[in-house]
Amino acid sequence: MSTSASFNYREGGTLPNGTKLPDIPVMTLLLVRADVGKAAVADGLVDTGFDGAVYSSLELASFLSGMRPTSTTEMESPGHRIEGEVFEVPTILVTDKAARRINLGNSEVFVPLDPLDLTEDIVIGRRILNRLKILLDGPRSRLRIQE
Amino acid sequence: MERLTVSLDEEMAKAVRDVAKREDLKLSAIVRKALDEYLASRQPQHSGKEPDIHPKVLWRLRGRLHPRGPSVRAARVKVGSFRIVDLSELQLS
Repeated sequence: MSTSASFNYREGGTLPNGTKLPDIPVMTLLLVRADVGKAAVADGLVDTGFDGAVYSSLELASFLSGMRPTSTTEMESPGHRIEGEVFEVPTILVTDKAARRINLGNSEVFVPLDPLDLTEDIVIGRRILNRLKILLDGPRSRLRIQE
Repeated sequence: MERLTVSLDEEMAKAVRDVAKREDLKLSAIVRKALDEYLASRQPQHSGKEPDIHPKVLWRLRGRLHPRGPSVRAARVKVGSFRIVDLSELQLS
């Protein structure tokens, strides 16, 4: 299989005691709002444990300000349920330098109702991941999408 | 700015000093952020007066500065970047 797109992992950081955390597989999404003529170029954490397409960060929620949600739903999280609004947003996967683009159509962006459930990171879940052939090349800290 | 004196038990004072040292913050900045979040959380969240603003979380977030994420993480590291661009720059076909 040939590689059609790839993304470098992001550094996981270091704990105060010096322990280096594992690097983080990410992909870059272009989330389009034609109504305001803007797009968000956003790195998202690849999370096979997340059922949905995109879990919103605060920045992404702000970008969606003024849109109407298409539905509301609940998700299960350890210890509690998370209620949220769902926004349908045209989404394109773009490589680091936007050299390659893969159109993903409309993606459902889940925005929690409770600020305590809002994350600093965008999370990309299986509703997007399962549409792609993905190789997590940990030793090279590189995520490859194959054709 | 108004100056207030706050009494904390030893354990909490040590915890605040540790965070300040680790994250290179002033003690007053930590207390201010904690109070911002506490005061915002005391405002009614589900009253009938909530405006028709979407996403609703932007309204409910008022004053909270540090949302936490659902992923289990050992340290607070924001992953990657986020920026807004004009569609005209992208030449989408």
